[in-house]
Amino acid sequence: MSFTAPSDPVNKPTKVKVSQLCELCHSRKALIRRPKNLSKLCKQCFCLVFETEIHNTIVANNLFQRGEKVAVGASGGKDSTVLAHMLKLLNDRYDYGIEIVLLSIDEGIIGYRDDSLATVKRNQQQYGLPLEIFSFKDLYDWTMDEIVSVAGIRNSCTYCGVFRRQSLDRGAAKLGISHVVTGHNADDMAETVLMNILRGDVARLEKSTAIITQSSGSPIKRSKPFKYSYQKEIVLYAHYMKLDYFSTECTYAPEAFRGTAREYMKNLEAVRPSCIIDIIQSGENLALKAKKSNAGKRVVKFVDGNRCARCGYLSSNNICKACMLLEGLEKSRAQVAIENDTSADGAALKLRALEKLSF
Amino acid sequence: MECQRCPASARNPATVESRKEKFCDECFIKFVSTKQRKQMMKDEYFRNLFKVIYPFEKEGSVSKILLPLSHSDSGSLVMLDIVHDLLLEQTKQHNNRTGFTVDVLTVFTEENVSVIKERMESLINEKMSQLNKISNIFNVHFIDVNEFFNNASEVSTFIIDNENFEIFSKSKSVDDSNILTLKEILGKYCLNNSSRSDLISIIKTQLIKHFAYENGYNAIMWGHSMTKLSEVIISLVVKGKGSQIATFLDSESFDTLNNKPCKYKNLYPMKDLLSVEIESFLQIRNLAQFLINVEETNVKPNCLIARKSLPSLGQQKLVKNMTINEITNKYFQDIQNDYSNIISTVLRTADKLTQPKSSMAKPSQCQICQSKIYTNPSNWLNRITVTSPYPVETTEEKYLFKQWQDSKLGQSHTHYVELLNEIKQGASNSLDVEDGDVKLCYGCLILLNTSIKDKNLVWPKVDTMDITANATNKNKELSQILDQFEINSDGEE
Repeated sequence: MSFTAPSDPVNKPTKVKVSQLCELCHSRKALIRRPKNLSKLCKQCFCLVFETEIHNTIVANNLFQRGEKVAVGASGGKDSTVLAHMLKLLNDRYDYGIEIVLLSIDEGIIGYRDDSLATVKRNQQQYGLPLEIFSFKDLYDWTMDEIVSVAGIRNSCTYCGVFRRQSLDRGAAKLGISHVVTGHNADDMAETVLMNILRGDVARLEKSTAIITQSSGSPIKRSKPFKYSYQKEIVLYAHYMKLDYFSTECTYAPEAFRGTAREYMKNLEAVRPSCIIDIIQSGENLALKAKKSNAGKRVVKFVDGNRCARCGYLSSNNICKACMLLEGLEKSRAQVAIENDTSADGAALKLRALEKLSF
Repeated sequence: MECQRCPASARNPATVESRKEKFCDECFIKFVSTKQRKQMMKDEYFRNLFKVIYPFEKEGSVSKILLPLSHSDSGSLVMLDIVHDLLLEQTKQHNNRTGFTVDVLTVFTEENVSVIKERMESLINEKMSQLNKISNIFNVHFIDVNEFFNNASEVSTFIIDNENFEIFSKSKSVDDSNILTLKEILGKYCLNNSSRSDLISIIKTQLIKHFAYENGYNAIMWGHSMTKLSEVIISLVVKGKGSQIATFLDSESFDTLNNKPCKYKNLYPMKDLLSVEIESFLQIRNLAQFLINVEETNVKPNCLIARKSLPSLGQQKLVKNMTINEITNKYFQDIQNDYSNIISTVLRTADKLTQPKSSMAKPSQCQICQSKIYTNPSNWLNRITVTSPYPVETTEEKYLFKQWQDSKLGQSHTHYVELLNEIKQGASNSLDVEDGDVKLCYGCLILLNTSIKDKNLVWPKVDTMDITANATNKNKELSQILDQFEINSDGEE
């Protein structure tokens, strides 16, 4: 008596329905629903479309010159990791002729930044790109943990934002690089446009969507190749390419007002999936009225390229914001330091743990 | 709690609290009226428009003002009430003369025509008859929303090319067999509530502006509050129409239609008032009876003190069913407690904007929303979007592609491609179309590309439209109100 083995349901090939096919090639099963326009794409089409769009952005805006040395602001997060990978890929594929360097800033937050820098070092090995790390300690003689122990946790984002922004310029200047590339994406740009309108930041309104920011007072220029790329697509791309990135949020609280604008945009995306690109298009078309000159009154105009009197970097005022913050911090520093004192290390984690305690 | 604006010797109990100040009913009404009147007198043009000018010139020199009234909107009703009080005051002070006359214009649909008839009848009896006994200060007009389609002699079919977002259109004359209706457009083409709301808003605004243009009005008074204006501004930014903010808010320049200069300006008298203040005014003056959605209005947030303790029972809509304006309104309400000056900041910021520099070779106008076009949206969008697929490789993939072609999805796509090719052919044959002619603004391009079925839409050509002929005679039921109104006026005289 012959025995017939039952058919294996796990390995049975599933038939692909027509409605499940990719909307571009119509010949593969769609895996994702593209956030930009809600079209269903397969993996190959999505990766090709995503890469080519960024290439088109780079070419249309003339971001790179042949022979140029470019520093990628690398933090280990998804944006900078995908940016480094993408620039190397497109440089090899389309031959921009640029030299890519990874540039990292160590803020000195034990338990957070040391882990993300480990990710950047792994990226250095994976992509074969040189890596340079500058720390707050080297540039300003303060770590973020020390700043938090002095100034408190609430204001830490202000210090970190000001110092980090200047650190990239300082680091690039030391390396002799005149072009810094950051991973700001379309969501960040749209958020900035909305927040400038909601907060009445008129001075920044016109330039909030510029893809290259440059000033005559600084040899360093910055560009954002991901200007038209959605954050969700960056995450999807990193997932499909199996990129190694660090995704833990900073241990300090996010800015509350920016959070409300972000939630508003999430609701809008449910109704109008292209709203992020639409906001950027609006941002590019905002123009301010010419200011009426008051006869007799001396009008204080914004001077492009103004430099700080102390450190020589870009500043809207006579003394830049970083120097003013440093001056305030120095007044709070102890006159005599205990040797091998490690009480400030990991202050952020300790304070966060203390906040969660309840009695 | 006492009113902070009453004289100290005779303080009334406070009933309203707004902007951290307490009012009684009378002082609050005066506060709101003063805000509106201040806006109506804000520059030389409007002062000459609204004031009684001496010496009296020949007959017919009184200014004509158009007041679009919506029976589902509190702002326009409150504005009408304040204008009525202003006119009453002018007749008492100037021996029965006024500086201007008011034409009230209502756009109706077949769904709400009976309710509007009832509400307008009571509004006429209560608010307008008294002044019209002195002289004909108020006129009432009705427009069917379908006039937008009936009065155009040509329509265009717009279609978006899937690959490069280029816009193609084909024109044809209107005959009795292919007259469009609003219901048909919204039901057949629109995929979601947001696109329906957008198209209705475009249609109503254009009907009102065309009416003002054809009949020689000096100004249109819109009932937008500060909150409503901020909502519209943010919504324009979200829809990619940020370049239209300056034109929308402009009260200093004369309006333009189809590149023709108009003789009226757009005025927003309630610009300095929050919507909660307007809702409070509405309740104090008992104006809710004239609205279509009375029950809904009574639940809206206001700043009446007696109402503050009551919890809001408003039902929560799903986000997907909301329009962009509704999401923005909800956002403003949510952040109002923590960041209270957001609304005024948005409006103040938008007031500082101007029209951007145009990169177009020749001036262009959107064929749907009639706004000015400053950049080519197809080129802009094509630059940042890739629509070409990864090539088909394996045998299984070829089999699936063949299967897709034979399916309904493939047939629907084939129909779209055939329509696209047909219109492309028509466009290239037509001598009217010049190369580089841009037909849609960015916002409307995105509307067609994402929210309209099969990316094509039939729309009337606005420059072939004539509103005057049929404005008040189309609907017999509503014209009876007008006849009744006029008969009463003649009888009294």
